[in-house]
Amino acid sequence: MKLRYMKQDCLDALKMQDEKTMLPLYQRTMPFLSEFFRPNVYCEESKIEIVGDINLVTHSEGDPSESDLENVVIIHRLLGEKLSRVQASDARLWTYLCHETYWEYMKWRWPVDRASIKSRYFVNGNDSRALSRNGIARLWWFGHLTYDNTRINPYELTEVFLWNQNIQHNLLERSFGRNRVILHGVLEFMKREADIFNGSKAKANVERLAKAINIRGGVILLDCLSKTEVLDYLDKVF
Amino acid sequence: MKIQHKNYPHPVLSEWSDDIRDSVIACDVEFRWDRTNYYLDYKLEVKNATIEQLVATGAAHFMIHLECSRTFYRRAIRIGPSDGECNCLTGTVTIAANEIKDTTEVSVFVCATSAIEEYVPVHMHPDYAGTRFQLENGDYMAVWKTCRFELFQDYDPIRRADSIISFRRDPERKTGDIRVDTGYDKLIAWLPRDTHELYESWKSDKSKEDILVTMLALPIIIEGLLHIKETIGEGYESSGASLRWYRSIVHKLRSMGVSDIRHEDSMFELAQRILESPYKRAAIALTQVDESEMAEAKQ
Repeated sequence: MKLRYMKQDCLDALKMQDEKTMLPLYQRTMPFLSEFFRPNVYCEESKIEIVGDINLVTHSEGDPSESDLENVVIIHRLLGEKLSRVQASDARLWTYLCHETYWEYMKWRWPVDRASIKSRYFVNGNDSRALSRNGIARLWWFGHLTYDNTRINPYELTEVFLWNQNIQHNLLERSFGRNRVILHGVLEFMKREADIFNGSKAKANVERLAKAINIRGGVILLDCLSKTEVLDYLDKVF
Repeated sequence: MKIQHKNYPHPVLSEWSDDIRDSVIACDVEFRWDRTNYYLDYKLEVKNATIEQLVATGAAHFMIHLECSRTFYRRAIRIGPSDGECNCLTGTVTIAANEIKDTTEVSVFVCATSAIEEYVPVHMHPDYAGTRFQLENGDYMAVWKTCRFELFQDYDPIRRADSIISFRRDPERKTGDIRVDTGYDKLIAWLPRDTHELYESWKSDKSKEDILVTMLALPIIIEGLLHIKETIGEGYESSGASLRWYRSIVHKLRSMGVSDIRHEDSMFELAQRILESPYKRAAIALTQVDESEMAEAKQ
């Protein structure tokens, strides 16, 4: 099966629609694009072949966010090696997947309201933050950024990253999170100090950690540091 | 990464501070590209005997820091001296084209890459007299600035006018004039229903593509150029720079050697240069259409 993406003109046209008008369409059980664009063709086939089960988990007993780890692994195994960074930043791909292939998942994981349509169903903006908000793109990027094949469980750091949204927010919305060595160092520290970052004061502690890294980045070029040096620094300040 | 003008806990050479005087950090960086790679050509220069010596011994390095806000790409590339040259390094860094796109920031520093005990750079500000500093791996020693580049692999308005212009059917008007909207990632041309129907029937015919570009794309590019000219600031800085069509045209203007559109008199001539002689191509296309119709009539 070939991966599909939305035609740019159709994406532009859809994005320009008024959210209030569109809300009933997003509340439907079935995808609406074919009806919306009829008789025009709204998607194209890429050269990227995907093999394997494409279905995401759309049920869990607790909060839908508890399925994130499982779904990150599914998307990363399916597309992790298939997409380059540039392809994985293409709004046409993720918008199509959100509106068609993973419609059922999207409605379950990100129930729609006017505010969430733009941020979760589209790639709303020109920077990487928009990708970390899109309902499907975030699954690929979270896997891509945290996957570590030197570990017995290569998704060990992914699990830490998904403990709570504060971690994702604080690490990716600051630019140091784009550096894999720093990000992995920070996540390893969090895993080691799980009680601090996964307990009742998790939010405040994650913020404190992100600020500490940022402050350090004010006087040194963080990208020079090895993972061990990141860990040593965090040991000193925490 | 955006370099802030700030004070460091130790003397740092920069254009904006006098921590270290009578010394220079000056760099030149420029991107080239082909279909598979971006090539960052650099010339890095530092003039300060202490820093030069530390670079020569490998205790410090030039660092080129690349960050693409679009693709989560962030990397620092260590540039070492070669052939004994320590104060002026030239070379090229290659980055795969599938790693970065759109806005990419390049910053240049000299950083300590190992612990440096008793750092006392020559020409240090007198306020620091008698003080010895201890540097660690990563500490900034010299800071240049951040340059922003707009990188596109696919922009070629001659072949891809549709990459920056979108022709839409205006649902509210049956007939009338075409309207242009500049507030989106593409220049939106709103075609009334009757014109849109004609457009749809023409656009599928490849032989008429050049004629369509002249009829529709050219005036829309002119509209875009006028918008840029009216809103532009120094160095093409503008609130419109977040829009794809805007950045694409500015990129094209720069590649054409148009450094400041405000000094250009004719947007009509500029649009023709961007689209590379559209009238000539349209005339050739018309002749060919005419010839093929005559051939069909003879049969």
